[in-house]
Amino acid sequence: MSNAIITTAGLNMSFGDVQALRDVDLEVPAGRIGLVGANGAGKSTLIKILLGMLQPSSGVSEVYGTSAQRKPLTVRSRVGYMPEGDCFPLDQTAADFVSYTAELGGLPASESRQRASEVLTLVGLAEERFRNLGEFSTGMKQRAKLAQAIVHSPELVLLDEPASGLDPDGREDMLALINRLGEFGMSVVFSSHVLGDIERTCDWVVMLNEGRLLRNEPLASIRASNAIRVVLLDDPTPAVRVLESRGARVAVTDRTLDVEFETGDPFVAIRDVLVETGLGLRSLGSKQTTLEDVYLAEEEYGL
Amino acid sequence: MTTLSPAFVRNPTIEIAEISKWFGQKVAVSNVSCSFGPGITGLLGPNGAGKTTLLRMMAGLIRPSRGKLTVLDTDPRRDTTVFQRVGLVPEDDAVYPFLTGRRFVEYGAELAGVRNPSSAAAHAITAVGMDDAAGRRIEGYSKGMRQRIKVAGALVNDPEVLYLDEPLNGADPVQRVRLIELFHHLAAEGRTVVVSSHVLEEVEKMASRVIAMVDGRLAAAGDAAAIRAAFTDIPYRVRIDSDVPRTLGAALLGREVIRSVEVIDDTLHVQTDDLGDLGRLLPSLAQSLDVRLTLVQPEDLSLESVFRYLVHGR
Amino acid sequence: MSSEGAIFDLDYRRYEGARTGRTKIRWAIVRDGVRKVLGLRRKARRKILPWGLIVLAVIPAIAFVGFRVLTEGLGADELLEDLIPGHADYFGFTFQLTFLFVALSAPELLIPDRVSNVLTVYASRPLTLADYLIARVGSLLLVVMAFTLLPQLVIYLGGAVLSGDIIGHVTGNLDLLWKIPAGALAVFATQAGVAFIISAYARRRGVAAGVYIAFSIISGGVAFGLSEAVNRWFAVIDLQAHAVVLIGEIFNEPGFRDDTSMGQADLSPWVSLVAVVTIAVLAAGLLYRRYRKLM
Repeated sequence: MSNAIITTAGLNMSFGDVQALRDVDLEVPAGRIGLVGANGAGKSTLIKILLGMLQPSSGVSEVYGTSAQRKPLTVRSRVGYMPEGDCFPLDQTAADFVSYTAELGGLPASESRQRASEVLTLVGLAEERFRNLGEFSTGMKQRAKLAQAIVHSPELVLLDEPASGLDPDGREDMLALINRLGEFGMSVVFSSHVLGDIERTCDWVVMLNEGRLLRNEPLASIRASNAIRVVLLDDPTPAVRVLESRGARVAVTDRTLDVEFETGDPFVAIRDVLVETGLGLRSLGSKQTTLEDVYLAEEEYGL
Repeated sequence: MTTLSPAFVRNPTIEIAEISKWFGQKVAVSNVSCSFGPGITGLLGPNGAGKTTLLRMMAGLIRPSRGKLTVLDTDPRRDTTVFQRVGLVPEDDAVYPFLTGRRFVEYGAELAGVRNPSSAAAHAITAVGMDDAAGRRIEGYSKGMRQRIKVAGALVNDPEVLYLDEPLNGADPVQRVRLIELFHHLAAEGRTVVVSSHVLEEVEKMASRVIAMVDGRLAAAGDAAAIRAAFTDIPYRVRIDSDVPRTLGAALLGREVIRSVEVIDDTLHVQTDDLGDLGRLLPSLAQSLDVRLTLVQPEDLSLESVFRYLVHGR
Repeated sequence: MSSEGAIFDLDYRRYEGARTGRTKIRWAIVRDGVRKVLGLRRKARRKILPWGLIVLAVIPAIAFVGFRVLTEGLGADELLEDLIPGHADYFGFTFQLTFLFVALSAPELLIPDRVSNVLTVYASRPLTLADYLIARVGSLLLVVMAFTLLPQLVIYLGGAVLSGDIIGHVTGNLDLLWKIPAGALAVFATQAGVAFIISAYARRRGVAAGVYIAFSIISGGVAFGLSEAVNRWFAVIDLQAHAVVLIGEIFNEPGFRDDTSMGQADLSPWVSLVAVVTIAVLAAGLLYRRYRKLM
């Protein structure tokens, strides 16, 4: 991949006798990248290695063509990081601290004050920015963490469980913000164990399982499948019979049918069968393999 | 026979009657009445809505300011022995890092007065799939493992009532599925399981019944689909993809069951009061117009959408 | 004539300008440290102790010198001849104040960042661990030097004015220009080393300050007792004494150290120099290792 922004080769990381990463080889393009897997070991470790905060047991990683092992400072000047846990001083205001982190990221002091204000407004903390970080609620802290991650105008932002601890509204807002980061020309690595969030925001997915790389590809290719899922309003048996007689393979669970045709237009065929049998539909669409399906298949078949 | 409001169940194990709780001037819970019974019930609400406070009252940790709350026919503040029949999996890391997983669970069993602590512990550990790691110290556990050992700790006294606060936090996808299966299994055995969580897509997979709180009050109760249907002034939104969206859209506009049709990026979004009617007319309408339907998807049936309507009204 | 309108995007602006170098970043950390130490941009009560100590350190010098200068020629000159303390003596006075100041400031510089996990933010920025630690120590050095040097400067100027011959005074006392900063540095090195090490491990600022103060007092007593009773080399344990010895040496007042355990033990001043340098190097090394393990 010529336009990869992140690459790793033979990455291994062990902490004592726990192996967090095993032989991870990655090439990831710009865009919104989801990083999924078990909480704790794999994902956060990978992020820290990419930032040069951790030295891998073996292997190399590069961000924008720069080795994080040899030139961590160069990598960090182009990357922002939103850590999972708390990371704020309790006795400083948000504006103060975010401005300071901008300076730490290489921005002149005069720019920093202004950008801090802008970024805090962007994340929805316009009114609270002159309050002490120690008084912030979880939701406010998460937003402030995002602010400090992007204030120094990085090209890539690494988000470690950005929606953790947020209530459904807060989660929606955070996901919307993450989507917007892409519009600002930033690439995003969104690390989360909530697969639904990843499926909603990312175009590329890196899936880790027990430290090993399970998948590394566009989300669309993971989701693509030949089958069409139809959920009916009534007893599906008549439809199943007709579909099978037309050469389809049908898997049935309650009123949900997964239909696969070898030839012909499946959508038209299904439509016509529904008209013939007089059945109504609740939903229709290409069956999307979910990320959860991939993990479950891995568990069962141990590929 | 009078029909029971969905906030109540026929054979309750936990009964909450006009419960209020205030901390100084702040009213955290305001006049809530509902009940919980066997099965899994989700407890939902935005931060600060009072659900944590309610849960803590149910766990006997704090006293209601007003009202009557009973767990297994007992006032949990008066008779704390009822907690030998209750299990609690709190959200925070209330575990001792220097103990091994097995010791932690056995300790819990001993504390709860279980007759055979080590075998009860072994059962609980197997139930959560932590057999391999139980011999290691908790400080070396990942977040998901800590979660599972906490669940084991709560199961060890074979509780009739189980409170779970963000139980899937940190679990990896496979562990999540296993834990959800476990909770279903426990509920099927007749236990009352109350799950509090912000991750609504997970609650959807676990709970058929939800109790939702907003601003300290009971905002909704019952089955998610039924709650959605109760929003009679908010029509259902359905997305329809096809090869000739405008043709289909124009035809749909002519039908009474359709309230509105929007075209966004070559995709139809329709609003209808009756999903069933729409679902029945679509195939024949499409066929008559020679339209190829590739996607028909209700957009606001999920628990997340229902929640949004509850909190924001739209 | 058509009218035109436009909406401007109030969204995120990319920063396309130049990035500052590591020096500016280090300075940003130093400035942040100075603010922490002096309680600037924080609640008012955080300013009381540091500024109180600074005022206590500086005011007497200003008062003595001011009084002397103002009463010049009013007839009390012989009486007030010895009013203004000598440089070494004033070091002796501020010594206790800087001790307290360092005891309170070192924890403030290291502990909250560590306990609140702000280190993670630093670790994700283009700066090294060494940058951070040097800048933190540097902030304290800057502030302590400033409030040690200020009264010394006042005394120096007072001396110059009172001698009637300013140029003469300056050229005759050129050595003071290196002696004063050297003295301040020596005091800082003895006091800050252990303070920083304790702050690298303690989780609460009060505890760190308390442990440091207790350690200094106890080690002083132990050193004194053991050097009398067992072996005079035990006086080396009394870290504060080394600062006094070095001040005495720098300002050529051999009797200055007489009251200390080092003076009583009659060990060569070089011992003190070696001790101070050793503490400084040891402290730096331990500090780096401790933080290396954390990050």
